[in-house]
Amino acid sequence: MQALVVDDSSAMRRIQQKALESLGWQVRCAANGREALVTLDSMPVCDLVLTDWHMPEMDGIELCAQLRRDARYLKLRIVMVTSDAVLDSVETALAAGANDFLMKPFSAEALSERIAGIFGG
Amino acid sequence: MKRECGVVLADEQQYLLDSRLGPVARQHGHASLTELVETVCSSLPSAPVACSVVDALTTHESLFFRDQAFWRQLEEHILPQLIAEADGRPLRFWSAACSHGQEPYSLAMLLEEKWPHVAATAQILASDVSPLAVQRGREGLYSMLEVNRGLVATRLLRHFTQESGSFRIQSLLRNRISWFAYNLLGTDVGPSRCDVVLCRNVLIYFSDRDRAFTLERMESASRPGGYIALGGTETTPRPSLAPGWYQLPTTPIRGFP
Repeated sequence: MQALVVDDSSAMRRIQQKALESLGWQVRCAANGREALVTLDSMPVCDLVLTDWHMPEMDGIELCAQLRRDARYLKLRIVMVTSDAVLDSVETALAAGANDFLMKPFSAEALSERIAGIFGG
Repeated sequence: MKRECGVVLADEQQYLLDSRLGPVARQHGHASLTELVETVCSSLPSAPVACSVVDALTTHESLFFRDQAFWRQLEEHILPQLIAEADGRPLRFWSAACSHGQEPYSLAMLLEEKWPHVAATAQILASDVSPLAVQRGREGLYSMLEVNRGLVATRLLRHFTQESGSFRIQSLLRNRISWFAYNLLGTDVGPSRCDVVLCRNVLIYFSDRDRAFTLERMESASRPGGYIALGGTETTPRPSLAPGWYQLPTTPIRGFP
């Protein structure tokens, strides 16, 4: 299974990449929404995008919206990751096309449980 | 310690006593663990200091919808069958080691989402050996870290309201659950005629003898044909339907011959 981690913090990218790899995922990374679109274009297949919300150039919400307008990514699962621990943000993320939502900070277990929930593990 | 919460520690786990009870001793103004133990032994089980000790010694690792395969089995096989057979009779569930309430609330959410008419009449009983854990469950207030564990965003939106940095489960679901403190190894008589008794990841902490006693107690809490749910690695002498799931015979058990 292929995943793309999108976050403007290189430390956060590394942590999430490591967590996903330990679950058996192959992981690519991007530093913002615009870079994510370019990376996705070069990936033959991608099953999961784990994206931060607040990023320069293009944020996670705009990335979701763009992906959901593209027929190639209809089956792609998107999890929004943010430190905004408010229900309004959850609603906004789902409305933009995210499948699920994780609030920072989160444990490797929480990520693993979330992915199991999405992919029926 | 064993009498109040059934937990048995091996000699090499003595460090747990210091790490878990040390803070309780300090909180209640005791200079040593010995002093704490003397106070607890001479106080009622319901005394705050006794509650704190039970709470510190028991494990509250819990998350919403813990173990996807378990919940799938419940949703796709057990509940549809129980609902069809019940033919309108209210179903009764007992979450017998509910910790901070994630398990009974997961059940309440699932029923409300898939079978709201069943949810409206179902009885969900929730108990834990720790009165403090039961109190937390009754309050239904969870931190961001807790809702991150196993709760998908759509469920968070549907069933919770925001309370500053925390999330409270809606009163509709809170009011459907009856909470009580209950020691599975104690002398109090427990619920009866339950359709499903959930007691997951509890027996692993018990001695063989207490395990057998608890299983017998769970069987006596179930109606004939009812289900008992244990943790995936916990087993009973009965054949399991799926990891952790056991069904009682449909004819009543009449004790030992």
